[in-house]
Amino acid sequence: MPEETLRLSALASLGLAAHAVAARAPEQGIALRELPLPALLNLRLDPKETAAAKAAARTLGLLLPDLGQAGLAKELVAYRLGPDEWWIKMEGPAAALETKLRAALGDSHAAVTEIGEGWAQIEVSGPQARSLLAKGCPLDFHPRAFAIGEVKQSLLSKADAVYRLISDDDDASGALFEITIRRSFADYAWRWLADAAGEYGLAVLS
Amino acid sequence: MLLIDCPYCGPRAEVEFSYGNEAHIARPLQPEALDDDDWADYLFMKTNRKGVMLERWVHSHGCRRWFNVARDTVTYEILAVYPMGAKPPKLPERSYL
Ligand SMILES: [Zn+2]
Repeated sequence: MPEETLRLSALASLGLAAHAVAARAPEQGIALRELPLPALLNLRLDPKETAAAKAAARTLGLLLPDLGQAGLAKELVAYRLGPDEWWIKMEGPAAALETKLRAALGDSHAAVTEIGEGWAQIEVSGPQARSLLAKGCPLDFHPRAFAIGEVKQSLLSKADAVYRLISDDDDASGALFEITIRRSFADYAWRWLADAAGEYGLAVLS
Repeated sequence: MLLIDCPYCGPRAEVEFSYGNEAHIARPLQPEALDDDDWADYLFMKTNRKGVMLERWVHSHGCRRWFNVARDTVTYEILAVYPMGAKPPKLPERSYL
């Protein structure tokens, strides 16, 4: 993993800080925010191998989430991406947890790989967040089809994206989605979102 | 547009998937023993059935897993979705003459 000081925002070229604000105005339907670059581990194991699954769960401090779900533990999020695949996102460098997981899994048929350098994250929030995402993604964003804590992999326009619904309020604050996108597509995704948000009014959050 | 029921993600739009052509074609055990015609036959010649076709699909923009689909190539109706390595389920006979 590169030195922390070498990590440069995937959106640095957009100069977002220049017009960022602290909060969305009530008449604006969408707020976009660039999240700090994620520290991400990819965990592959067959959950039918219960010893390995239990060792991973114990190390992470959570039950490995089911398909389509995210699990929260102290200072980390686990995303289920497939029958034998999870992402673990945490604050700060992933190396310590990577070492701990590998030790816990021993020689079971499992893999732990640091992948954070390849991804960037954008937060989309506001009362029009579901409508905005529905314009560029074939997923059903209706509240009865996309609930808090769910994780879905799909497209954002032409780019692969992982969507997670973090919170959703009926009041004026609306839904809060986290979108994980390949780092090389982050600029494209941001421009697409900002353009599509034009009709709702866009705030760029710092 | 098809709605394909990924065994892992549930029903998703066709645009998230890629087509992997006919399923259950056994790879020759000794490819080096085949002549060009037989190799080309293995690689390129599909049944192209008018009716129920057993196909491979991959959820390329979703969970990235392969699976099998039984699809009616006339009506586009999907009759079954089943995992890799599984035998196809019993399906109704359909003929279009
Ligand atoms: Zn899938």
